[in-house]
Amino acid sequence: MSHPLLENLDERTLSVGEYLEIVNGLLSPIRVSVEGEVTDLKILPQWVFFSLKDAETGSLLRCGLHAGVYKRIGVNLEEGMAVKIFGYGKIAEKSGNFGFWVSKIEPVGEGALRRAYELLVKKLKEEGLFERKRELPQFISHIGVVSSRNGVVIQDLLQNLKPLGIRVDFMHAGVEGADSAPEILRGIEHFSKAKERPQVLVLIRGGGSLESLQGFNNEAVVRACFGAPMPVLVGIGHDVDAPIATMVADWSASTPTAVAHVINESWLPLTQDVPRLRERMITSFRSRLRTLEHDVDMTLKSMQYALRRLVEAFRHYEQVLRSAWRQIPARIEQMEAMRVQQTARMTTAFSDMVRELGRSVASYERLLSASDPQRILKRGFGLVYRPDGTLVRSVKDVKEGEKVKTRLNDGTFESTVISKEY
Amino acid sequence: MSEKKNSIQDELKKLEEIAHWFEESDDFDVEEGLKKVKEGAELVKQLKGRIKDVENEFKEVEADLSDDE
Repeated sequence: MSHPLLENLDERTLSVGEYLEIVNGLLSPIRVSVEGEVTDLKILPQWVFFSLKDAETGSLLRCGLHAGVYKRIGVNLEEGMAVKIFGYGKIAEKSGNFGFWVSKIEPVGEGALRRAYELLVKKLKEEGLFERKRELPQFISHIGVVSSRNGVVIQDLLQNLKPLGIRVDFMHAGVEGADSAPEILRGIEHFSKAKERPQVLVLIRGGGSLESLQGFNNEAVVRACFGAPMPVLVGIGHDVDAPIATMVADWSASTPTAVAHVINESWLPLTQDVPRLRERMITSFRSRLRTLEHDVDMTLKSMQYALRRLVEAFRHYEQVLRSAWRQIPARIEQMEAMRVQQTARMTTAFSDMVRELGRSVASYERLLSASDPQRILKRGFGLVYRPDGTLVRSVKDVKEGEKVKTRLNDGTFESTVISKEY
Repeated sequence: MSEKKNSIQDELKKLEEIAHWFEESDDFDVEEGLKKVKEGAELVKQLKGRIKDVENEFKEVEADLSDDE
């Protein structure tokens, strides 16, 4: 604690400002935790003030902090609450008041913790923070994990994740007690603001007491979870009181293994659906092909049937032709025989005809010779012709005194008609 | 990373559409069906490739200075 102003202190006279500077200089490095009861709590827009009371002696320590810091600390102060605060003392120059500047607040004792827990649950429930549950994306391939590198939980998570090429970005944070809250908060904020943002945020730790899990019941942490731009998965073990982070998470379980499983399951559509879809496609196609095959088969069969009938018909005709062919010599013989017969018959008929003709001719000859005028003339008849050559058949044909020619068997003579008589 | 997920979802959707096409009509054209089967098989192959055993990447990240207030 050496300070230029501290040299030769007893010999010097200081101004008030100088004195206060010395005192504050001495005080500020002394960072301590102080326990007491919260009284006279004033929560203002920019500042939070309260007096920490020693339960035994009643002594009071005036405390203060920026409202922003208070929010970030995430522990809600209540009148009468037993807390442990961390910070340093300082004397305000203007007022000369001694104040304790708080940088950490922790509820003390199960009672205080439980009360803080219950109050926060009630408050956030009324705000509806527990109602919204965001859907997890499919095919999760990039996660951001906030947890302790020293625990087994991170190993559990990594070992239970299927090898799906998942990118696991890990940010270490203490997960134990009040001190864990700012680190967890920082982890959530880091991933929320990251340029390459993970698809989901994962918070995991093992089970523990209310005191041990304080960081996950912290208001700032819980609100950061709710406000994270991606779904938050929480895997924190608990017996009775679920940590508030679990309540506000989009999905929660009590083990990191379960978290790993739900991440794996996001790939289920792929692992399940792809084979299923493939099956559907192939089954349909096969069945269609089978139908076609059947159709083709039927067509083929009917074609074969038609062809067979064609062949049969052909064979039949072939047989017919063959037998006809075989019969040709016989037929020829037959025809020859017929021809001979016919010829014979014709010849016979012809000869008959000739004979008949001969007979007719003979008879006609006889007839003719019987009617031969020469025979008649030979019998003494004569033919009388007029001068113009026409034959006289009747007495009327001649006139008395007309010249006529008479033909006898051996010549002619001319005469004149003397008289007529009928 | 999200484009990886998107294309997976797109491919899955396409495969679903193909399977549906097959089941929709009983007497689809075989040549068309063959084309679709080939497409589907290609999709199946690609999608299966995504879930083949690929090691996960673990990396511990540091907080940026800007993370602290």
